[in-house]
Amino acid sequence: MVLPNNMQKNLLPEEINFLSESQLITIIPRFSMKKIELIGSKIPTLRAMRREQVPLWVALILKSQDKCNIVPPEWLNLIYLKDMYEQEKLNPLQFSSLPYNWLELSKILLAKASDDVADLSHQLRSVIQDLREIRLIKIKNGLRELNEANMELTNLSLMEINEIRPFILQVMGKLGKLYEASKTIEDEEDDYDYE
Amino acid sequence: MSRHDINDILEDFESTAKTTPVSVNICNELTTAMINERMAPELLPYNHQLMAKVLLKLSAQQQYLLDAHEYGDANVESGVISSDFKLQLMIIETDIERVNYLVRLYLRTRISKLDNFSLFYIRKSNIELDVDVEPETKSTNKNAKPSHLSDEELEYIHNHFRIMSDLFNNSFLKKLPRLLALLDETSPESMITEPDLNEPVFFRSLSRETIRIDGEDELDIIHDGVYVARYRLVQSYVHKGDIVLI
Repeated sequence: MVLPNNMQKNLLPEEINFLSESQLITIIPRFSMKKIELIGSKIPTLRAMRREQVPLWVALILKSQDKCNIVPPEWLNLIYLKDMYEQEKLNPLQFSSLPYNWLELSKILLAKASDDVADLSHQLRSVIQDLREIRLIKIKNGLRELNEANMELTNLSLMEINEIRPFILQVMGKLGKLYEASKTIEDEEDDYDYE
Repeated sequence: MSRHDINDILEDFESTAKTTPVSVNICNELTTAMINERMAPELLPYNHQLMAKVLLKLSAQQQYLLDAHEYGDANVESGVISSDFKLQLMIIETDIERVNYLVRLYLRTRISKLDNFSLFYIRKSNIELDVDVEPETKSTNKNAKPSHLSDEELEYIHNHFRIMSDLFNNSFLKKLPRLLALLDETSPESMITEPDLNEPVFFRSLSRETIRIDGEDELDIIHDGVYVARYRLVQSYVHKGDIVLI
């Protein structure tokens, strides 16, 4: 098989991590380096203590060699995330607007650069877990509304979408076929009436 | 003017600089193409321009890396080579590997679809060829409309089909009556597997304006909204790039 079954019509969690590693992030370098031309993007000239934006994977390489500090994105702090949690509770029918890859990004940053995050990492982890759970409950409630035509999932992150994707695709596909079948039967009955 | 003010001005300047549109990043384009391909039930048109650009850059970077390694080996004793130089090479190498991986994923996804729907796409490419040959000016026409498949894919799909039909023929079809031995019968029912455009897909809208889909399943698609709907409804927007599959 060129593409194993579990990779068709779905992404692997590892692939989603890979994708979010190309997001730009701000770093404070601790050394100087000339600029590098990469395929598609480039790393600007780095000077010690001067903030620059680089792709996350570059930041992680530098971080692993203790050559930079990563500036966590502004949403990755206790106050903001707790606020988001309150909003999730207030609007049971909507998802709060977290970034498209908040789950992956926060996981990577907490694992690889926890010393750069201002708040205590275990507190952050627990808020993230709370947020994740309340959103999961909402998703599950939303599944009751599943129909054959369409569905709105605005503000869900890629990881969360990926978790429910196989189930939704299968059910919607089946519902669609049932709907088609019921329609053709109705049409046939209509034809029959006219004769 | 105090020092504080200068910093403020600098910050202002930097933030306005950031909002100006950055040049289109081919890595992001490649990622989008890969995911679109992965999620769409049909085979999307081969992205000739993008792939040519990416492959060119890729080999240029690889050549640079080779040269740099040679330079590094030649100067290793003189002590010119710093650890920074090695770090730079490592970053470039990682970048090459990442892009390589994306390219491979893109092509693998396409091949898996070609495997599933080989007869359907052979027919489609034949029709494309016929249209191409008809006008006399063959050479100019070649560049006019990019083909759905790349040349390598075309070769692959024909070889693949030949091997498969040889296998079928030798293993059992030759023992059947000729009437039943056809692989591409279309009546009364087509036995060519076609992509099912009614499959639901997940997608996100990039278009600034609300896209309105009429007909049986009405749907208003707002900017940045995430939806699930049948692929058939959004197909044209995916081709245009207003909607990306996720």
